[in-house]
Amino acid sequence: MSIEALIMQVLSGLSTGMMIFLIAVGLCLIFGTVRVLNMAHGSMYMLGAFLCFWLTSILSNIAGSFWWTVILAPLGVALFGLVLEVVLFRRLYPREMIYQLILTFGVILLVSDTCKLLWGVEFHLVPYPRPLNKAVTILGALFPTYNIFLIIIGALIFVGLWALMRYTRLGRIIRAVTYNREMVSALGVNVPLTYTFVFVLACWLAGLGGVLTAPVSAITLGIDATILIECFIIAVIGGLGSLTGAFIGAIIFGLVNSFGILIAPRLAICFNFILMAVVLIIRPWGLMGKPE
Amino acid sequence: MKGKNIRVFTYLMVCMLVWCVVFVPKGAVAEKEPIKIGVIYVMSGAHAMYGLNAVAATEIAIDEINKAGGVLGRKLSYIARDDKMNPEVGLREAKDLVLNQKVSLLSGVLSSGVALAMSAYAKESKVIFFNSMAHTPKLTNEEGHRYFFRWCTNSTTQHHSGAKACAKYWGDKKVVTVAPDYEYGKSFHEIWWKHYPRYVPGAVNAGEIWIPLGTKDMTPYITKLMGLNPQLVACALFGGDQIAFAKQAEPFGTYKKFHFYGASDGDTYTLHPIKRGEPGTEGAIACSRFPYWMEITPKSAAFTKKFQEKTGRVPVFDALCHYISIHAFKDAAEKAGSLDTEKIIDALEGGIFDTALGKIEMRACDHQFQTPLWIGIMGYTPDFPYIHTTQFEKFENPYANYDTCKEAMELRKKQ
Repeated sequence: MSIEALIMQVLSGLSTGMMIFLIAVGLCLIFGTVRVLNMAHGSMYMLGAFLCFWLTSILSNIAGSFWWTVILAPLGVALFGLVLEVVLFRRLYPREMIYQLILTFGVILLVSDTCKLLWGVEFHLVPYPRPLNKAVTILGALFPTYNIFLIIIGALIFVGLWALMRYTRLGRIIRAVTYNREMVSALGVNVPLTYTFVFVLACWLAGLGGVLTAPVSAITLGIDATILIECFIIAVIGGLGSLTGAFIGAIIFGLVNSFGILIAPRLAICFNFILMAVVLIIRPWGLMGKPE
Repeated sequence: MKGKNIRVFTYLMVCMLVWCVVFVPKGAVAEKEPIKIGVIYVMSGAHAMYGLNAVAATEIAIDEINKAGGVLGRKLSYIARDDKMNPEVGLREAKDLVLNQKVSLLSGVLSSGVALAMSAYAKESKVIFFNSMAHTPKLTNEEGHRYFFRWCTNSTTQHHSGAKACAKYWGDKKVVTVAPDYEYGKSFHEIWWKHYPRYVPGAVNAGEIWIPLGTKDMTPYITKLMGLNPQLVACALFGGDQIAFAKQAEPFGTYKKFHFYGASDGDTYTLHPIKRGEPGTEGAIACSRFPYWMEITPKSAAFTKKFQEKTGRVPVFDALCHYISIHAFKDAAEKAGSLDTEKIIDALEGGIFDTALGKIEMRACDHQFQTPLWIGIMGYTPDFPYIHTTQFEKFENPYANYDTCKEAMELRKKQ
C-alpha cells in the first residue's frame, strides 16, 4: 500500500473523528458537570441539521447563506436547550437517573415528531458552501477542502473549550461544580445558573455539529439515533465527562474506523465496539476519565 | 289485562329475535362490511417516507375502487401499521391485523427481514401477503409459497439487468462493488458476480466496500475506493446513504476517474434532492424502476397526477407497486367471483394484469410479478431541476431478467 493511500486514510479518519467530536463533546460536558445522561443530545444535532436546511433555503438569495446559518442555527438550538433546561431538566437533577432517561426519551420523540411535522419525511440536502466546495491536491490525490475545514474546526473547538475550562473564571466554576456542588454553592456561586450555561453550551455545540455536517450528508429523520451510538462509543473510550477524553476518543474512533475499512471492510463496524469493550474491561472510567 | 299485554309484548319480541337470528341471511349484514386490507410499512424514523407513500397509494387505489362500486359489491378499507423496520414488530402487527382486525389481505413491507417473518406467518395462517418493496430473491425462491405474492422487482432482475447494461455499454474488467452491509447488499454482490463475468469474460473483483446503513461520513470508504483504482464502480447504495456517497465522492473526482453504476440512482427516492449544479452521479448508468416522466401508460400518468396532488411529492416505485397490487386484488376477486382466499390465489396465479406499467403477468410458478425496469444514464434535462435517468434509447429497455421458473423451483427444493 502506498504512503499516499495511508495519508488519505489518516485524513479521512480524522475528518470522521472531528465530525463526531463536535457532537460528542456536548454529551460529555453535560454528563461531566450536570450528571445527566442526555439521550436527547442526538436530537439537538438533528434539530441543528434541519434548521440548517431550512435557513439555507430561506436565505438562499443572500450571499454566504450557509455561513449565516452557522451563526443562527446553533443559536436556535441553544435557545431550545435553554427552554428545555429551565422548564424540564432542572426539575429532574436531584432525581434518579431513570427519571432523567425517561424525560430525555420523551424529548427525542418530541423533537423527532416536530421535525417530521415541519420538514416532512423526505431527504433534504444542503450544498457545500463556497469557497469550500472544491478539493485540494495532497500527494497527487484529491481531498475535499470541506473535510479539511472540519478537521480544523474540530481542533479549534477543542482548544477553545479547553482554554475556557482552564483559563477563565467561568471554566474554573464549572470545574469546581463538577467536583463538589455543595461546597461551591456554599461559596455563593449560582450552581443552577452554571448548570443552565453548560446545558445550553452543549446544545449549541450539538447544533453546530448538525450544521457543519449537513453539507456532507442527507438530512432526514433518524439521524439522531445513529449519531448517539457513535457519541457514546467516543465517550466511553475517552472517559464520560472528560473534554480531552472526548477529543482523544474521537480521534481514536475515526482512525480505527478508517483503517478498519481499509484492512477488513466486513469487520470495520465491529472494531470500535471491540475497542469500547476492551476499555470498559481494563479501564471502565475511560482513557482520560477519573474513577468515581 | 296489564299482565297479559306484557306477556304478549315479550312473546312478540322473542319471536322477532328468533326470526332475525334464524331467517335473516347471515351474508346480508356481512356483505355490507368493508373488506379490510392490512398495510404494514415502516412509518417512523429515517425510512418513514416509504410508509407514508404506501399509505397514500393505498388511499388512491381504494378511492378509485370504491367509487367504481367496490369489490364484488363490498367497499375496501385499510388499516395501516408501523413495522419500525423490525421483523418482530412486523410479525406482531401482522398477527393482530389477521386475528383481531380480520383483514382479508396483508400488504406492504420495505425490509426483507420483516417480509420474511411476515411471509412465514402468512403461510401458516393461510392469509394472502402482497409484498410491494422487499427485494430479496429468497421471498419468491427458497422461501416462496402459495400465499406470498411480490409485485415489485427483485434484486435479481435489478442487478442482473444492471450488470448486463454495464457490460454492453462499457465492458470494464476491473470492478469494485460498493454495497450496504446487510441482506440487500449481500444479494447485490452475489447477483452481480454471478452474471457480470458471463457478459465480460475475465472481469475481476478488484475490491469490496461494505457500508453500514445510516453512515454519514463516507470519506474513509471513498479514500479506499480511490486507492483501489478500478475501471468500474458498481454501487448498490440507496436513499440517504447514496445521497451522502454521491455528494462526498464528487470532490474526489470519482465520477470523472471511474465509470459508475448506481443500482438505485435512477429511483426518484434516491437522488432527486440533488439539484442541477450540485455534486451528483452525472454520467453514471442507473436503474429506474418508475421513470414516471415517460408516461409509460395512461394509467401511470393518472397515478402520477393523483399522487402528486395528494402528497405534493414526486411519485415513487414502491407506492406504484402498492397501488398496482390493490387493483390486482380487485381484479382477481372479480375473476374468481368470490372472496375466498384459495379462489383468489387461483385467479392471481398466471393472471395478466393491466397495470400502470403495462400488461404484466403474475408468474404462477413463484408468484413473482414480471415487473419491468428501465436503465439509462444519469443526467439533466430541461424538464426537471434534479438529476435523473436519461438516454433510455441507448439500452435494451425495458429489462426483466428474473430467475427462470426452473431456477426458482430448484432453489425452493433445496430448502
